[in-house]
Amino acid sequence: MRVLVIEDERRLAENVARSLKENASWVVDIALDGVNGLHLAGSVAYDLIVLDLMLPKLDGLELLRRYRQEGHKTPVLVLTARYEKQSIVTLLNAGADDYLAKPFDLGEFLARAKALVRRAKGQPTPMLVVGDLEVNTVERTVRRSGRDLTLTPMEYRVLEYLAHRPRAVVSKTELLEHLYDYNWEKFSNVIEVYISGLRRKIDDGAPMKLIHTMRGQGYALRAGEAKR
Amino acid sequence: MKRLSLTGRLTAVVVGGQLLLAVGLVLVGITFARRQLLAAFDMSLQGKARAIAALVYYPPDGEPGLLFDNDEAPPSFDALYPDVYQVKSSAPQFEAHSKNFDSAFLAAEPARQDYWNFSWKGVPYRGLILRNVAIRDEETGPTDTDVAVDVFYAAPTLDITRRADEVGLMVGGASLLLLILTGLLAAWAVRRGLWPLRDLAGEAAAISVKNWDFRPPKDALETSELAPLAQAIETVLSKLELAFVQQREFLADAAHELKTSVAILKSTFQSLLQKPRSPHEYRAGLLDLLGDVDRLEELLNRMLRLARAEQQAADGGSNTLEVADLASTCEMAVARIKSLAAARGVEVQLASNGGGEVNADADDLELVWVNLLENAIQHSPPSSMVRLQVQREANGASISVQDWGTGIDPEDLPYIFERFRRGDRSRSRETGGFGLGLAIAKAIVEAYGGNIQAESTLHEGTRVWVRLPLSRQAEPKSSPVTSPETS
Repeated sequence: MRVLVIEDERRLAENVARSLKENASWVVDIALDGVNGLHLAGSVAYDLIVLDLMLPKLDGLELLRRYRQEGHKTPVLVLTARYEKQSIVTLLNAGADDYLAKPFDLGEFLARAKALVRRAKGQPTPMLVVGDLEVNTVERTVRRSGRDLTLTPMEYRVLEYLAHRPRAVVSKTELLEHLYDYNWEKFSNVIEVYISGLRRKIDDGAPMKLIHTMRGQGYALRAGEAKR
Repeated sequence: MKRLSLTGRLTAVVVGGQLLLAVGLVLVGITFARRQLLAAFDMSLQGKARAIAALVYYPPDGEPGLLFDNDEAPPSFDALYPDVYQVKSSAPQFEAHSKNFDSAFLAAEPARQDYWNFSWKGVPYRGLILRNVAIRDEETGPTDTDVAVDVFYAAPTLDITRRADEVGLMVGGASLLLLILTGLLAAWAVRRGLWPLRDLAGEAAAISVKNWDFRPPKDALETSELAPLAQAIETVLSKLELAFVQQREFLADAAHELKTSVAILKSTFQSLLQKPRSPHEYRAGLLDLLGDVDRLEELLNRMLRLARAEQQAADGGSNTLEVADLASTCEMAVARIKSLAAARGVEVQLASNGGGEVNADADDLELVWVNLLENAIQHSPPSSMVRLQVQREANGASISVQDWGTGIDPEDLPYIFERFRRGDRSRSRETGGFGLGLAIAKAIVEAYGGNIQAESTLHEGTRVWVRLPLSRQAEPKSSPVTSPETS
């Protein structure tokens, strides 16, 4: 997952980013002002945007309105120092999906961030299930047929992304975009390495394959189909 | 406390005035009517007296003496109290009178020959005596031998009094009616006239901290007596609203800054605790926390300093007896800002022609210059220059700080001295500021009776200058030598 944090307070942005990296294995970009934030939000496919309200150059609420006007559907979690009812109503009506009042609890922030991401992808619980494969996004553990699997952090990121959208075909470019920060082009062939690692750990010896390669299109995680 | 009613007072004044007028009118009316009636009465009295005289005639056969035709006497004014008359002459002896004549009438007035009033049997009478009325023979015309008679005629004046009273009653009644009408009209008019005032009060009563919207009713603005009041309320309210909104914004901004600082601290703690870390990581985290706490402390200090300076300015300024030398406070400030300037690669130049002495705390002045220099340095590109200039002027001293940096957007220029100014947040964040430096400088300068201004051209640079009154004890120094000093 890839997250954009738009927050002018550098120390706070860094803490939030660090927490997302360490506790969710997500990739985080930081924008320190509204103009840069809107630009990044519009040009990169993020899974979540964390937005501060009082921003230099472009106000957070205005940024949110313009972002939604451009038609983007990425969930937005707003960090606000004000929590009068009216401003929260205005926020939610402008297209925010959730808000947290400063100072907030990092644990709560993480839980809300994860909930927003999985809801946006149609998953109701943090436990993602595909056939007999279970991905626990809270503990970041993976089990197949009741057996714990040990994945590397990168393998987990790839699997988590695929598990959020079971049955969908996910292109290599999409995976790269959502799992790496700026310079993802130079990693273009590492995805195949992670997929083969995952396939070895998940599908080897299992009666049914879950990871499918669609030639020239990408990858899909799905169950309930006959072996190919 | 008993309230005075404007309506009641004005109505009472109007009605009272009218009452006086009505009484006067009645008196004048009665007097005038009486005089007119009396004049007419006198005329007719005289006419009747002459008619009585005309009833005296000579006997037809040239006999001596006189005769009187009693039956032809003119009709009385009043049927109840008949007129009284007497006609007589001394030579020949002749006397005729009405039935009700009493010689007592004339006993008291032997020599009268004009009108007079008297009372007889409780009835007011007015009488007239015509003396020496010649009796003419119709056939011969006036001759020397014509007999002269004295005629007395009197009639009751009850009628005059009654009619004068009638006039008085009529005038009085009409006046009373008019009085009641005007009283009602006045009360209504005053009430109606005060409607705009009630509307105005209603509108003003609706003002609250949540609703500052005050629109004076049109009626009030169109009433010349109320327009100044309505405008005064409007002006006061807009000033109050401005102050209130500023205060609320300050509070919101201050809360935002404090919450953000606490949020940083909290998130640093939590992220440090989220998983076991190496001693090295803990140490780095603790250093981060120390930096965060320093920042919070600096924010609190600045907010308190600003509050103190603003309080001082609001209390009517400082009246310190301390005297500070401008040039030396500037030198101190330049020394204090050295490390920041060096870190940003900016050269600070001090130019002074002595400046003079100011009634102020030296530390306060130094803080002003430091804040101005800090601001200038933050907006300057590396290897540019910031110039601090102290100049003596006719009625004070002028201290200016000039940079050749990014300049300020004309839109933001009017707000740069506001607390937590927003136009420039990114830069102030980058350099660890809070947007309070210029606000503090302004508050201190104003507390010492000075003023601060700024001019700026975008992408070319900014000049901020301060004017301060010189200390009275200070003697003018005659050393216009400019001594540039760089740091």
